[in-house]
Amino acid sequence: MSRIVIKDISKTYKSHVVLNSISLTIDEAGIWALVAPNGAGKTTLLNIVANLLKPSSGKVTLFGKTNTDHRIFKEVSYLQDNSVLFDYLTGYDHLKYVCDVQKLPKNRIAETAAYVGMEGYLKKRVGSYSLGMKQHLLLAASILSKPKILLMDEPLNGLDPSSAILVRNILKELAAQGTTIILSSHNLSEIDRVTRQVLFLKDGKLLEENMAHYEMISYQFTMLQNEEWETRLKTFSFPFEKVDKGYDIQLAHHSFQDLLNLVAAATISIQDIQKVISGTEKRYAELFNVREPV
Amino acid sequence: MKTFLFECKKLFRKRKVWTAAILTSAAIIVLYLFFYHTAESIRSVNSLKAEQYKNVFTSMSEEARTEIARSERTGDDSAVKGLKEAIVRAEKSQENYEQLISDFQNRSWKRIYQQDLDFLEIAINEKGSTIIEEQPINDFTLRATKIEKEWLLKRNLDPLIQQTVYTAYLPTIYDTFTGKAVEEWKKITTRYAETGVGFTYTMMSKYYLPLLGLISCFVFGNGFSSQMNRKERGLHFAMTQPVRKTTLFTANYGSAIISVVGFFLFLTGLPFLCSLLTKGIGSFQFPVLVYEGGKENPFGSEFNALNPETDLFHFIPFQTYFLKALVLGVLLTLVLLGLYTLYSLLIKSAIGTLVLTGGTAAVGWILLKTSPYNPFTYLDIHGVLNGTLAAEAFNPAFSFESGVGVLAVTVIVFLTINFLVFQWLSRRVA
Amino acid sequence: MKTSMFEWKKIRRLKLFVALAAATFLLITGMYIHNVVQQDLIPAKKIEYFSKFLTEVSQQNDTDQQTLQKSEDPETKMRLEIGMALVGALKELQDAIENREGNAELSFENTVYQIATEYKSALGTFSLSQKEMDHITQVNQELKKRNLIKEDFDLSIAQPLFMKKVTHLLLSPVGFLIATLLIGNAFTKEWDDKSMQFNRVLPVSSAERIIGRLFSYWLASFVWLIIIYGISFSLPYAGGRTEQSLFSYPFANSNGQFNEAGGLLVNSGIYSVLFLLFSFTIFLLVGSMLRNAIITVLLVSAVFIGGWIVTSVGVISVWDPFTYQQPIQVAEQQKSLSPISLLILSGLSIVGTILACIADKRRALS
Repeated sequence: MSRIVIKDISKTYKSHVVLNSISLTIDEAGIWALVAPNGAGKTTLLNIVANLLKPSSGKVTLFGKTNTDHRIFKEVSYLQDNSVLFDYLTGYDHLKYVCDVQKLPKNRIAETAAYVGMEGYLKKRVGSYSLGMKQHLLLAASILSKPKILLMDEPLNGLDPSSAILVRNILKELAAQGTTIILSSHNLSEIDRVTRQVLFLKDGKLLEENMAHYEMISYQFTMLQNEEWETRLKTFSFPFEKVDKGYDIQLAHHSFQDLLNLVAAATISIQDIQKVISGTEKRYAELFNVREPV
Repeated sequence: MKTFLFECKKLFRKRKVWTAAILTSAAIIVLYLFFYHTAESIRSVNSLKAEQYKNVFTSMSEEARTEIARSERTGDDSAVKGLKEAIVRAEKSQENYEQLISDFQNRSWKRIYQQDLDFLEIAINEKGSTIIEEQPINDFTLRATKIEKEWLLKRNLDPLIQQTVYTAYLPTIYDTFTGKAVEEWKKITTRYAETGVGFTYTMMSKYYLPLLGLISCFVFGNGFSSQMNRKERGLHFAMTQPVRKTTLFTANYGSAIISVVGFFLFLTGLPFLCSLLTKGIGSFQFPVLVYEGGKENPFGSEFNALNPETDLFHFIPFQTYFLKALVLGVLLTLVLLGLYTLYSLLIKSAIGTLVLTGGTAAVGWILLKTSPYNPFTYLDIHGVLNGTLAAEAFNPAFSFESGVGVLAVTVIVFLTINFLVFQWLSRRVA
Repeated sequence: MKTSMFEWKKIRRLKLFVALAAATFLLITGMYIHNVVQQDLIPAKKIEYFSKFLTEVSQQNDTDQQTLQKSEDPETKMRLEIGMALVGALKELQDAIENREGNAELSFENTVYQIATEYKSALGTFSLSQKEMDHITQVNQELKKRNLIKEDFDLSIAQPLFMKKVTHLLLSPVGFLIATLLIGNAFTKEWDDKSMQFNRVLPVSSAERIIGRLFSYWLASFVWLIIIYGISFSLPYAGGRTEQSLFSYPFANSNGQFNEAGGLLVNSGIYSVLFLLFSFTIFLLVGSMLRNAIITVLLVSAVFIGGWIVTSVGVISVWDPFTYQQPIQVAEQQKSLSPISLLILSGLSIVGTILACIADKRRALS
């Protein structure tokens, strides 16, 4: 049975078409990233899937059940914008309620809070939380029931780097355990770190693409910037970009061995090298006509 | 000015504000129409009652005629004579009622006023002769009713509808009925209006204007609080612009004042607009009773008492009363807005703010209504303008002038407090 | 049940309910203190009331004496004799009031009306209608039968009378409206804060959500009623006016029937509980339809105040649910709990709840 079936979903606001007969079927666990510019309809689509918003036409079924059946939320979770939280309640109150209505054991609250790293904040009012901590609470509330489908609207919003790493690892872990995750995000490099499966939303249409085809590997060199090195890169046609700590060098039509040869010949001091895979950004730039960096 | 215009734009672009405004207006229209229909039905009940009374006399004269025929057969001449006199009296009463019914239907009040005046003249001269449930109507009420009728007759004005076919008395603070007489008196003296002027006048004694002021604050006075809570940080946007906090405060408060006062005036004027579709606006010359109060007792204030026989009064036209009421109403609305803004800055819940503002005003009025320096005393606009408060307290300080002064000072005090709270909060959230 | 507990938590955390409870407590305590302070004024008030009649009859007696000095008139003489007796009875009554002799006061008052009836038939002036005098006499006889003394309905600190006064003031259209708005704030606030969506992505049906809310709001209002009844019961208890027999204090209705204070309080309590249920149903229905705090408050207030105005203009019907905004007045007019009243309030509440559930089914966003 398919996990998610989105069939001919359209959404129109007055004369503005946001979603135009979108269809999508997801049968297995994994992570799908929903990518589009602001206002293109990412949240609208997620809201429709979660039955918060009525589509102008079309149908959504989750595990074979229509999404208007509230019982689907035993297997589906939706991480929304943090404005849905009750400022005057504590984090514990939120998790306790989810625990109660999902009929889960109480110890799950402490476990999940520890898992997302917010155990010290449970007894505090949400109104006093930072943006990041609210995201932690939303994440905890959405994974408390160990859902089979997890919809996430900007889960990385407002997270510091260490929290972002934590969330990334949690998502990978959940996907490995059998959860289907659809997440919307503007952070394309983070997307590249968690999935190759990207859903681009363009002109109201959904394009499902595998980023493996667009993958672009670059290496981040932490080193002192110097002219000789730049001349060499230019000579051997390595596309590069100057960054704070050194250089981002793309392999493009070269192999990693070519790059190593270049480094060996240069005899310059390199403090660190990191591999960076970025396909989404490239594809995004193509699809949405964004001028690429030189 | 630009900040002010921006604030106004924000306020008027909110759909929920407009929906609330339309809903409130609809409620006022329904209220007006309800009272209009009540007045209409009371008018027809009065005509029906007069018809019933007329029928009583008709059947009386018919019975007397049958009785005459019987007495003539038995040759009882004295009975015949008496019965004939009774027939004349019954027919006279029947005619009177017919005339009354026709006058009611044609809205021809002159004859009715004249009859009332003749009756009131006698009632005033024969003290204690006019009673309700065997309790006499006091001299003051009779005198006031008489002068009111004279005023109406002289200016050819329509009366307000009351639930009686007899003299429509003007209730006063001098009425001291007890037990069942209270209910009966209330029943026959409660006034219902068909015109815009009449509706506004009858509602004035029911704290109508302060209520409209409070509703206006609720609909249009949430600008500050809605922009300063954690979810909508509109003011944070403005605070990061090169605009002084004083300007920001003035613009926000100014737009709130204009919209709240504007809506208050609109709601006040709405029944007049509605009345154009029914029985018309009515006359602004309608008489409003003003108590002049009694003399202070030389043996001490604890012996002060109103004297229905000697205390004086006068009437003013509704237009004078209404203009003064509007001035006090607007000032009172500004006081309520000050209080509303203060609470809304502190508690961030529209319902809580509404209840707290209303509650504070009510408690302030209940606990301190004996003081002319308490701004909430002036919630009773009607009591201030018609001299009830001054007469009952034997204190002429309860006046329109002191009302204007006290309310104006309170508006400034709230303005200052709100500015300080705004500054404190903006420092806290910045 | 889980939804109810969560809603109850929200009500408590929002503090408006706490404010309502605190204001209720302060108001009742304030009223009690006011009444305690005013206790000495009760006899004075009564004496002043009867002074009016005393002056009236004395003046007539003086006039009659002067008439008799000029000429013999048997009718005037008879009136004067009765008038003198009436003055005597009125003075005895005033003495009894001053000395706080409750039982004697009742007897003397009845005597006064007995003589006043004769006096009126002798064409004397006594500004109280026969109907009124008969009514008071009947009430006094009821009081004597139950071995009770006459209480001041406004200033009494006797347990059931104080409770009746408090319930009359708080269980009123304004009281019910304020309680509904403050307790229901937890609901309307969610639409404004957008936190409604939190609830909407959980396995909770519309029926569970609405019934859960209704139950928690009803529970909160029940706590409010307990505070009202409890404090107005406890304060006079602490003050010493606690005779059990006071709960049988008779209140006459417009049909001349007597209702006991205890029964009235119980019946008005039951009507209040049901009216609050109806009131929250309306609130949830309007709120679920409009989904905005300000507009919901305005509409609910307009409906409730409109209902009150209709009742106060005289259109009173057991079939009109808004009649029960004044439960003590309804209870006073009925001999016992009316099954129709109970049926109307609970029936309309059920219908309202079903409609609210349907309105809640609409999606959170549009």
